[in-house]
Amino acid sequence: MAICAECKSFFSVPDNADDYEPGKGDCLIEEKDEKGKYWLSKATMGDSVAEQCKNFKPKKVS
Amino acid sequence: MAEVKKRAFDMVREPGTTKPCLKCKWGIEDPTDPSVGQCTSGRTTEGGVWKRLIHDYYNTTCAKFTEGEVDFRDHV
Amino acid sequence: MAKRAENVQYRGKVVEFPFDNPAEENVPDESLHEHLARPTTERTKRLKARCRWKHAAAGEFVEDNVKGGIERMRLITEAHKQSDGKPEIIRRALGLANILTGTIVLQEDELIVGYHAENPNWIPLYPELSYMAVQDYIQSKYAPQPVEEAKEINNYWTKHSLQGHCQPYFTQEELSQMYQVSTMEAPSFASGYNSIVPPYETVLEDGLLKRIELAEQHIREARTQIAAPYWNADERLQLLSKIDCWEAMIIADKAVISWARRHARMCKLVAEHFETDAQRKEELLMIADICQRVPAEPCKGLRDGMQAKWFTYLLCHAIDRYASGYAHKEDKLLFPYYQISVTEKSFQPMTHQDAVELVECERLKVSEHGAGKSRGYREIFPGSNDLFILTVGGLNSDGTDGCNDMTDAILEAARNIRTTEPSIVFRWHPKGRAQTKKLVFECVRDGLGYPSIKHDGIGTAQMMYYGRFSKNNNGATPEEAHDWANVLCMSPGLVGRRKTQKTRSEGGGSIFPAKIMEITLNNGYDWSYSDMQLGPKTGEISEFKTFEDLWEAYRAQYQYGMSMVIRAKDISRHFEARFLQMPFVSSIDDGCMELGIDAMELSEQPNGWHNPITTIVAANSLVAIKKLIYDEKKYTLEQLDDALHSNWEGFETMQRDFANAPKWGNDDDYADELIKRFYEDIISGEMRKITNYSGGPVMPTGQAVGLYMEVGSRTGPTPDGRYGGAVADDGGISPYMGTDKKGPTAVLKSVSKIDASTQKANLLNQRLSVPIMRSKHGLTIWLAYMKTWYELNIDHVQFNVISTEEMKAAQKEPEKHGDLIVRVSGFSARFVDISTYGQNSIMARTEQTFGAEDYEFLGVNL
Repeated sequence: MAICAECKSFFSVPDNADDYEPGKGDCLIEEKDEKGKYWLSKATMGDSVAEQCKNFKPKKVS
Repeated sequence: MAEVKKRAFDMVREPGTTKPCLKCKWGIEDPTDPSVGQCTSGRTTEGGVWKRLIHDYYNTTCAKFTEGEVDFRDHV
Repeated sequence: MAKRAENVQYRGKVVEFPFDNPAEENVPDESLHEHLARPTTERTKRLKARCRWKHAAAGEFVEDNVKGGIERMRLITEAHKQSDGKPEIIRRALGLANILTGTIVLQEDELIVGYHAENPNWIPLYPELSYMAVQDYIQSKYAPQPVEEAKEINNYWTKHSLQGHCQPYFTQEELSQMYQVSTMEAPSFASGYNSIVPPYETVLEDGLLKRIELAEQHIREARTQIAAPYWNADERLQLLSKIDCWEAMIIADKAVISWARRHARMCKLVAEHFETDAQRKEELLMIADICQRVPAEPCKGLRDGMQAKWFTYLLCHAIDRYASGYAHKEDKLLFPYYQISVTEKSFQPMTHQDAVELVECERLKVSEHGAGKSRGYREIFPGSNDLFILTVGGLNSDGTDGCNDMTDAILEAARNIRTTEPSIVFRWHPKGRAQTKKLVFECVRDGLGYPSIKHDGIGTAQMMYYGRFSKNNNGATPEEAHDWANVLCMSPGLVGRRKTQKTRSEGGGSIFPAKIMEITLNNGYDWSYSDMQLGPKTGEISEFKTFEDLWEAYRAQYQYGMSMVIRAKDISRHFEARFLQMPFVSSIDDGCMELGIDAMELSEQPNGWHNPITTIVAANSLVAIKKLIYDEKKYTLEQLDDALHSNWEGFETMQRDFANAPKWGNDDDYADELIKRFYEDIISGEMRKITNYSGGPVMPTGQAVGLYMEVGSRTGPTPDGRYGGAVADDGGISPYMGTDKKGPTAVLKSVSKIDASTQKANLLNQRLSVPIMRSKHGLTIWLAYMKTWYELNIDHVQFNVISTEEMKAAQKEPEKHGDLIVRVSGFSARFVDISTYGQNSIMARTEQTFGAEDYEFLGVNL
């Protein structure tokens, strides 16, 4: 089952950040409408289930 | 002094009406309490909008009921 | 082509009025304002073109994709449930902290970042303030989604909200009287409306880390004192709530720092993973550095100052609690950073033009700022998002000229970018430098409707006066009294690190003399709108044997309304201090920090006021009644009553007689003497008998915003000759549209008769001739007008400079006139975003032209 930590939009919160928690990340997505581009960032736990998320895109495995 | 005809003489409170002011194009909510309404159907010859309060917005109706919305430019 | 002003014979010569810019001879009157915008950079041109306006009118949003967001509602509710059992002030801090974990937004091209909802097109809602306001959204097309969740959240807050706490202290009849907004504005606890003057200075000068340290130190000292022998209950029990207050400040400030730094992280991530343009990458990394440092640390340059101010604004006005306004003295606040960055170039070096660009960016951020306010407030600021009013100019606390290069940057940006908000107030003093006043003129001449002008001396004296009533003897000092800005459109309030107004319960809200006039003639009963008793029974018209009988009946109706609205504000204040504390705001107020008292509870500088709106309809009505009924006995009150209940139909001759009775604004002694008495004895006199929460008097701030349209539509015909549903007068002391017929100096003479010290403020709307203002003599004439205005000790004036031709063209083809801005009253609006009813009322305003007599009175050399 896909989880948020596996998504391209998931960026782990650095451990020196004020809001650091183990496993926590920013879900950062780019949106666009007729007025232009914008980005939304929301706190997410990496082990959250991502199956139903329309923005889920798996990270490239290096 | 002649007896004053109420401006709201044609508004009728009918609980459960299918034609409530809530759905009428002339009805807008009260500025504070959305269960109360304002009737904007009263238009003056000078181009003004002379409103009437609708005490029970969900259950009042009148013969002028017309479903829909009025563009903000056409009321106040 | 453009219409020139007519020649005038003056002091023995013919004076012509060629255009100051000769190219304007060929610009059609109908499209002048479409040629005036000149954004400073390509960036601000782009930002304006894609601006996400949130204008509202007639209760509706003009743009299609605006709607209520659910995230704030969800997060504050979650925190409230989880914190049950904790001290209320701590619950409030935890609520803010939880809200700040929500979605943050970054848009392309912007230099100042931060938004207050989870989508840049949406607006946050406040169920903890007014459940009725949120219910209005839920049953509209702006409903937050999922709507079932929104309903559940709103139901939860019904008993916990400010509205839920306050309502039980009123009868149902009283609530109905207030909520319908016909004799009185609804109380803030029912509308959620609010205002605040944040202590921005503290954030920029100290940074929040220092404020946390201060609070921690206070806690240590308090705990030491509590534990020390010998326990003393009287002295030490009060420390418990103070400790809670300081703890709450720490929770709030830490959450704010973390939230700001999330923006830093986001900018860095976007720069690294999304942005392909090298220059924009650099910018994003610069913004990331700024957000990492501020507001945690003191600001070091102008970019820091703007960003820290913006974050503080979002918190105080939208995230922690809704508040209208943008109250601050922006030039005073930012000038130290302007000097660092522009003059000395020692940190964030930039040119003056860069500073202007930054202010344009700020203006566009404000223009995108949507307010999740109730329907009532979506009705009364038509053609704009909300009230956003900043103040510049005046004198510094040491008596020197307060105008500086930052003042000029603010005014240039306003003139260049042409947005309706933020509006600007210019504090006029003779010492104000000429180059800045020329910029003020250019903004006014270009039809922005701002700056509106306040008399600096009157405002400063008023701050001293109110300071005398301070409950802790810490009111404004003579130096502090110079540091004031308009809290919203009109009423001065202190700015600075302490003593600023923190809630609308202190001052604000309206009462409507025109509707009160109507019900006075009907024994307190409203026959024309609500079909209910709106005031006490003060007598049938048959009992008004003399004019004084009517006068006293009016007084009783007015006092009934005034006592109720101030009672509503103070009951709200009582519960705000218990359930709606603002620990972040408290942390940045030096008084709250020192005393350990929350900002909703502490009051050091009283600033009580209330807004009479539609006063001139009532005043002109009293004049007409006195003249035609009591003095000349041409008609009886019974005949007038019949005519009014027929909306003058069948009584056309009588309507003309009442319409032609002496009117305010014509330097007419008959009208002016009575109206002066009305303003001083009833409007002010009755209000000043009331003492508010802060221990001071309440004074009238006459103004209108768009309420003159709303209340006009709920007011029946009136004895000034007005028809039912017609607009009321459009400003606190402005002549009724079209009735000021003796020229602009006659208006000044009338207005100057009212003793300004008896009033908190009074809004004067004047519409000046486009061809005169845009002629080569425009600046000279206007400066002479302003000098006279100041010497006549008039509180305020604001200007429309716009032709009827252009407004009519905009009504026909609104899509071609998006840049046409008008001054409604207390705020400016995009003309095409106002209802037709409102547009017509602005077109009806007398366009003042100046004749030789006026020039002579003003002492102009042409």
